[in-house]
Amino acid sequence: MSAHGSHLIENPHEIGTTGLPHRKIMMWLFLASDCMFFGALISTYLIYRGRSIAGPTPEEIFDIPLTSTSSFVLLMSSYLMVLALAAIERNDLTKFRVYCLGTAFFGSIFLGFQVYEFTHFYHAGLTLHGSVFGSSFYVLTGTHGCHVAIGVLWLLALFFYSFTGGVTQRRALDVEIAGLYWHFVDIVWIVIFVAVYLLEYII
Amino acid sequence: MKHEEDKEVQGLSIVARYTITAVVLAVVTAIEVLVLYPPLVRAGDTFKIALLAFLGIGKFILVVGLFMHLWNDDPIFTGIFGLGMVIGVGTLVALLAVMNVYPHRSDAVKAPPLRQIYEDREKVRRGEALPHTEQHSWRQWEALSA
Repeated sequence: MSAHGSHLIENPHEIGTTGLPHRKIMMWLFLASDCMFFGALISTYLIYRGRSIAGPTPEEIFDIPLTSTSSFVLLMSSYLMVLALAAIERNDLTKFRVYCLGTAFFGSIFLGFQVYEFTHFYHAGLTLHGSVFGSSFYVLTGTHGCHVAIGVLWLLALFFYSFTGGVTQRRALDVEIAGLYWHFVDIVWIVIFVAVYLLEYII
Repeated sequence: MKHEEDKEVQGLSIVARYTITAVVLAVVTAIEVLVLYPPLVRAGDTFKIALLAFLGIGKFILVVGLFMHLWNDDPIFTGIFGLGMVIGVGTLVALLAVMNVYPHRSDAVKAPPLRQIYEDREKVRRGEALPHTEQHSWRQWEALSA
């Protein structure tokens, strides 16, 4: 089976003996290593869950409707990202720019929600040093937020690069690799949303 | 010309497939939130956790399979990502087991509710004695060191 979009690769030297693009293999290896990284962070949060001796508690400060909205925004950004890839594979540069900018915009909205949430939590008394809940929560969600911020910068770079002729149908792999990273950020949030936010209201 | 039309039709079908996937993801997220509200879902905690896990895994598979194209991409990518997932989830399960987070472990010192810790801390401040049982030993330690 050939790799998705491998027929659109400009430089034949990018294909190795496996018949797959080197850069795509590297991105999947990076995502696999990031799975372990987030696995360790989520484990840390769950281990220290409910063991803080100082408040505020998660139930006192979490705002599920707000977090659900930000989750929805991130999911929709993933949708726009996949449309951007489909557009560049059809050589539709205009639609690619619209969807790429839309993805970055939705990612920025998600970051805005996170900044608002962190500010609200800080004023409610939850600090990085105040409790194990604060430490594990800020490190986990903050690391994810950093990933989102890097993704937004990457997408904006692709958007502006497209005006120089650097993003074409033959170089769709550049967009696909950025898309893989963006979708990974989305699936990590799917896990965090359930394990950190929703689970708190059940057990 | 015919070739261009085929490509366009194929492009539209891809967009439609992605749109349906996005709608399903949005609906599943809404269901996840509704699970929290007791008037809507009168079920036990175990059922709710199982349902949330099922829905979360479903969303995960949809994004990885369709948006990240693992469904129709080379199996090597699935192997690479699967290996990372196995190690990541394995680390999570192993750490939770080592740190005695599982509630069914009868010999484990369970994490007490936060309210109990607050109450114990107040007792320590008032100079009252705490019950000396093995199950409460680390709770006393937390209250005393607060």
